[in-house]
Amino acid sequence: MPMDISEKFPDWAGKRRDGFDLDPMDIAMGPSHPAMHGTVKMALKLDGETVVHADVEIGYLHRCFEKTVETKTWNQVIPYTDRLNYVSPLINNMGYCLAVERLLGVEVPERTEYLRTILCELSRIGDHLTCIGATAMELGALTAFLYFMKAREAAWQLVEEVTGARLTISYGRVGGVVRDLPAGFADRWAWVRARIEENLGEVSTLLDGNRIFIDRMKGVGTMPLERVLSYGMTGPFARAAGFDYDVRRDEPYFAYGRLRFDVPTSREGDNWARYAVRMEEIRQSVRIIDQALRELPEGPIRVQDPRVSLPAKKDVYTNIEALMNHFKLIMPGHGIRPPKGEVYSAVEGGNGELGFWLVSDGSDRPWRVRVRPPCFPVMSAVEELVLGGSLADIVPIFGSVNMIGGELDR
Amino acid sequence: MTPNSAPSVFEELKESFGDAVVGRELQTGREAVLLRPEALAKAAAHLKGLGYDFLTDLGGADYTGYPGHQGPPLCVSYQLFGSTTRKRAWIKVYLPMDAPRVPSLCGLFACANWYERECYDLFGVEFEGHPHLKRLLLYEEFQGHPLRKDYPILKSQPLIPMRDPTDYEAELVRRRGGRA
Amino acid sequence: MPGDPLGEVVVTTKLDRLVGWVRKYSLFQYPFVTACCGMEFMAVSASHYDTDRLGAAFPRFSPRQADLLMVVGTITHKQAPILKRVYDQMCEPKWVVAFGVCATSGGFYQNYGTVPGIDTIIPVDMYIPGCPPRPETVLDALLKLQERIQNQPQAVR
Repeated sequence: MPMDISEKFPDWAGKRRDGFDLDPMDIAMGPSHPAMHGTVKMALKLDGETVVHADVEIGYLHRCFEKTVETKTWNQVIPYTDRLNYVSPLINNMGYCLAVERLLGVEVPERTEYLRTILCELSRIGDHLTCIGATAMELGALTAFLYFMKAREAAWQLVEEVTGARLTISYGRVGGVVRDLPAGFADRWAWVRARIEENLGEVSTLLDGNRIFIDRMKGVGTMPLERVLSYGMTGPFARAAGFDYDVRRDEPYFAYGRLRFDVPTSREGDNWARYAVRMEEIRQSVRIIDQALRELPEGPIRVQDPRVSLPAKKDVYTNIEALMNHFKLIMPGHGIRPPKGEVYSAVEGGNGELGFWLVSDGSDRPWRVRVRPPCFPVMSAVEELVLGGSLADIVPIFGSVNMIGGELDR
Repeated sequence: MTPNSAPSVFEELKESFGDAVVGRELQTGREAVLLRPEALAKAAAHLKGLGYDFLTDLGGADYTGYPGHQGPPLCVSYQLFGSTTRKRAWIKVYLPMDAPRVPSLCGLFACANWYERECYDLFGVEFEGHPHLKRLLLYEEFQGHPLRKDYPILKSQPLIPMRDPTDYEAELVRRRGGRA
Repeated sequence: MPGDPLGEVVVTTKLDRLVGWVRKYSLFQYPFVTACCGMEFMAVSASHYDTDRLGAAFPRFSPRQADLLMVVGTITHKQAPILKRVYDQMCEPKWVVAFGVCATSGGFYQNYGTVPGIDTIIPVDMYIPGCPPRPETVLDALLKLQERIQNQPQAVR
């Protein structure tokens, strides 16, 4: 919120001492922001190095997701969901597909649930690696960033083997996934797992006991639990403050109900706690993928429902009913038609609860898709988080918030 | 499956607020309680006292032309959650298209500030009592509210002169909403 | 020429080509990162697909010190004046790379908020297609840009 300084600091306005102006300095930590956080503007008022007021302005990446998807069919929305939280695109894909499936009332086969779980966790690993790597880099620890980029590269190569693309994968479809795991996936995962564990160990050695890192992260950006709840935050940010809520464990979806994993929490609520929670979540994600691969059942990867899934190609070419089914699903005006109704469905994104509120009018295009972005409430709290701290503290705070522009501005 | 919703939210609110509860919708296994806009702040405070102390989501929708929809077209939907009870509640408020007003929840939930600004930006809903209702996602000189159904997606905006970022007085005036 | 005592320590060339050679191997990029392409940009700059070996990895976060403006990601109407301002603040010689389809042409975003290609605002030297482009594409583009820099007439007095 902008502020007239004469209201809040009546003693300061126009004060001079030794010929120097004592008004707080206005500086814009502007939309072209270094350190790859995308585009956010923070208009700061500084008293020396202390932040006395911050005004966060977002919307520089408003790509009109919610308006655009009203003009596309239900399956055509999926590439747009990739670009929401673009560091963990699979979670957005699957979250959206889950919401449409809930609206339709279809249940995907068990193998699909396990596949979705594996890929969501792989995506989550990528998200946390990027977040911690970028934060460390901004504090000067460029090596940690490069090590995590190596691990992320390994994870992305694995994702590419399954989905065909590194980043914007469009792997989910309403009713299932596009293709099955390639042969040898388990061996490749073992290699990637070794890379991730090795890099986690290396970066832990570099950062966990590092005096500079500790000084810049411990006690910085603390937010007490009541404020966290009032701000409606979820995800690693809230768990680091003590709000023990994880959609995967508390409202299980996909195969999470059948897998054993821990949800790390902390009580301090400062940057260090968020860093530790994210590191531990990477380890837990690795654990989930291991279990899911062991327990992966055989079966179809798409629900065998003619309203939703395309029939097999050989049937389309030989069988008239399959051809008509194919036609009905692809042609404009037909397609997947969920019944008239609404649903609010939530999954656990990299930053917290990713909610989709879908409104369907019974046609093949969505009436309204609202994304509840997990980093939106967290960003709304940044003004309060940086207040009173120094200018240099903004950088690790911002890093631990893990703002993803595509999700925040949609 | 679907999140566990408290079946008694409708009954609770009906008991305490009577007329203000306009009805309820059953959507995909969950119940959305429809309230009158004027009673929203009190109802939310009451629910907060009952344990729904977490505002998960606040979103708008435009039901103009929705098949079978009667009544005011603009809707603001609230998803509440109990951080200790782990129960969800869903409140919807329907508003008329011209002059849609609803009380703000900024006093109850800190996150309502930005959610409401976004709803104002994209739908034009005015939140009474909001400390700083300004556009959030679009630039200030943008005309219109894009997520309404009557706004075509490819509509172009009038050209405006570039702001000079070194003109601090103009920037302060702009931030205060035009007041000097 | 072999046998010539000066032939092994002196290289002769045109001034233009020398300046071009220097400029192409010391590109200071200004990463104007907005969206998903930023992730691929990070991957390209990291150790697996290194841009440092081409001399183009060192980012300068001040436009006054940079000569390569890499516009990475979607530009919206809210962001466009900032892009123009950053471009204006850069000194000659400067080159612009449109990284990704959103910067090239708006990508698959056709709506009220997205600028359909940054060449409506600033002149672009190299367009890199892809959503996001593979790192190999980016390296190919950088090599082509370097060739272009080498061969363009350098305004040196």
